[in-house]
Amino acid sequence: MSRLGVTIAGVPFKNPVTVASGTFGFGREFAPFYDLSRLGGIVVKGLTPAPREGNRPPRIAETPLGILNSVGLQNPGVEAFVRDELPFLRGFDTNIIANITGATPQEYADMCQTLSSAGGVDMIEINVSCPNVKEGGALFGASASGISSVVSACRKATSLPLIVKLSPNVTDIVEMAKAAHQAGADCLSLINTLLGMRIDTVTRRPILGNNMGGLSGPAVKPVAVRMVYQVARAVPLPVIGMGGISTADDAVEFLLAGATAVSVGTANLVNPMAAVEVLEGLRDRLDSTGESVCDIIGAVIPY
Amino acid sequence: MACVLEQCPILYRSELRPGVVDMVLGAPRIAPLCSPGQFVHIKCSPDLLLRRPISLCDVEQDTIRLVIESVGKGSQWLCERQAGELLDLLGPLGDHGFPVPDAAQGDSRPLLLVGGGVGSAPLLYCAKSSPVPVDAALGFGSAGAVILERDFARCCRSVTVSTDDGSYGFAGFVTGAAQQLLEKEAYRAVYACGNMTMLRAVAELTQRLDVPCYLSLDERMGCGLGACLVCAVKVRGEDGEHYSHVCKQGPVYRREEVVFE
Ligand SMILES: Cc1cc2nc3c(=O)[nH]c(=O)nc-3n(C[C@H](O)[C@H](O)[C@H](O)COP(=O)(O)OP(=O)(O)OC[C@H]3O[C@@H](n4cnc5c(N)ncnc54)[C@H](O)[C@@H]3O)c2cc1C
Ligand SMILES: Cc1cc2nc3c(=O)[nH]c(=O)nc-3n(C[C@H](O)[C@H](O)[C@H](O)COP(=O)(O)O)c2cc1C
Ligand code: FES
Repeated sequence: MSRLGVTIAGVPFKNPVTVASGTFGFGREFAPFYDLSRLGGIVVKGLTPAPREGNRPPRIAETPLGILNSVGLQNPGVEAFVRDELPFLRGFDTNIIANITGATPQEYADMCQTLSSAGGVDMIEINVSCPNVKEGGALFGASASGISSVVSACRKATSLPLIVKLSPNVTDIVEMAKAAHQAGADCLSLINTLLGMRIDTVTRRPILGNNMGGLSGPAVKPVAVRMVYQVARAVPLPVIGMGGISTADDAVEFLLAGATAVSVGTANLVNPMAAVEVLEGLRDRLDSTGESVCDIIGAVIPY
Repeated sequence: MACVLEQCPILYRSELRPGVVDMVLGAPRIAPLCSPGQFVHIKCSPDLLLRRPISLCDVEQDTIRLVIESVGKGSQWLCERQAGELLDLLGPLGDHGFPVPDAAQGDSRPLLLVGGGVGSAPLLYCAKSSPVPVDAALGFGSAGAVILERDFARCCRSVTVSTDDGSYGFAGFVTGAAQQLLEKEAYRAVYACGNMTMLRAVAELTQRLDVPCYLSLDERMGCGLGACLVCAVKVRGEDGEHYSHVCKQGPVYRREEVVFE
């Protein structure tokens, strides 16, 4: 394996740089900028059983070095994804990770089945942490029992590796990570967005049409690094770390904290080349020290 | 449609009036890809994460012209840039700009452009690209706010400037000026850009007079590429209302599609 390669739940990744759900669509918009096969993996926009229109606009607000979004899982539904988007994504030599949200454990399980039988999906990421939808999503992610019910249902429905995407909007992230592990998760990804709000002081109205939204970008990075650090030490599962990564140095920080791979999210919205720039920076850095990615995973030296 | 990232030098910069800057950028990669109604997405100061969408006001062989009004942190930063500095642009964006009128079918009816404030800027590129005669009705708050009048005069058959306070030109809203023109002559279409209140009035007017109309819409943006789905506006399609994404499926929509909320 090359210096950059990692393996997660038996799935080989040519490099540890993936793109985060919801910030990369189904890849089409970025294909003109670089060969998507360069990525370790692509996590597609969050899917639901039926098409969703998403929340009322405005759906984005800028914050100090961050953004709030309240897209609300607008997507064409899992079947349209399999029919219209998956064939395009299969054309690239990279891992395709389907991100799913349901309103009940059964809905999650049904989507797992649809995606497994479609072929061409390498892993499924269970989103129990979307702060922007009323039913399901973050409701499950907010308690250990909620996570267990969803993950167990999915575990029975598919043999594909399951990634559980954890919400930072909880009192004890480690408890949630353990629940996911016990229910059969193969990998954990974190963090999803932090619930936040902005108010226009002149009109006295929230900036987002949904009043509240999810905070992401550089502003959340220290919170994300801390949570990855805590989870990676407490649970024997690989972790995909994300939250504010826009440079190779950011990625290294997550790897040192214990992540086996990373996801670039909000940075894609700012610079369409962000993920490959992170990748190139990481490669150069490892080349200069002679290390491989596996050497630096969890290599932080805590006090 | 093709778009690229390009570092563009500011070749020329001037102030059209306090708070509104006119700049010409060297953009040899972006310029050949552009069409009227499209925009570029510009990175501002390092402490502002998101790019800011700015319409193409004019495009030459390897330069693009932008007119930017300072209304907040990002636009203010852009307005403070000087000739010689580089700007980080992504563009051109927006798969649906203003349709270029088809003069081939022997239809010589003129086109009417209706602009409100800085919303007039993208219409200049339409006027310059039009193979049919163009009239422009441009509305501003007061005499001091008027911009681009001479630029339009150079490429339009007529230019009517209106001011809300009556301090210059036609007294009243730009839709009043547009109505006078539309009642005098048969236009092939109306293209409009400005704030939502103005666009709604233009939509109502053109519907009443049964003239085709295209509107350029505004929404807060993230990626500008159609990937993040934040720039949603409600539109009416064949199978009911749904959210469309201004950065990709817009920014220009037919009047019939726009849902005014
Ligand atoms: C397709 C399109 C073309 C545009 N063309 C021009 C142009 O040619 N000249 C010009 O002066 N302005 C234009 N605008 C408006 C311009 O993008 C906003 O004025 C600018 O983004 C404001 O940023 P700010 O940081 O100064 O304001 P702030 O209010 O501090 O911005 C905060 C956030 O809200 C967003 N935002 C605020 N106002 C608007 C708005 N009206 N439209 C979209 N996003 C907004 C900003 O991009 C930023 O993300 C255009 C907008 C769109 C959507
Ligand atoms: C516009 C936007 C849409 C998102 N949509 C989803 C989604 O559909 N499913 C999901 O699990 N996470 C979604 N996320 C969360 C990201 O995948 C990621 O977890 C989070 O933004 C933190 O990473 P970042 O700071 O690099 O963006 C979204 C984030 C943004 C900014
Ligand atoms: S701004 Fe991202 S989809 Fe329009």
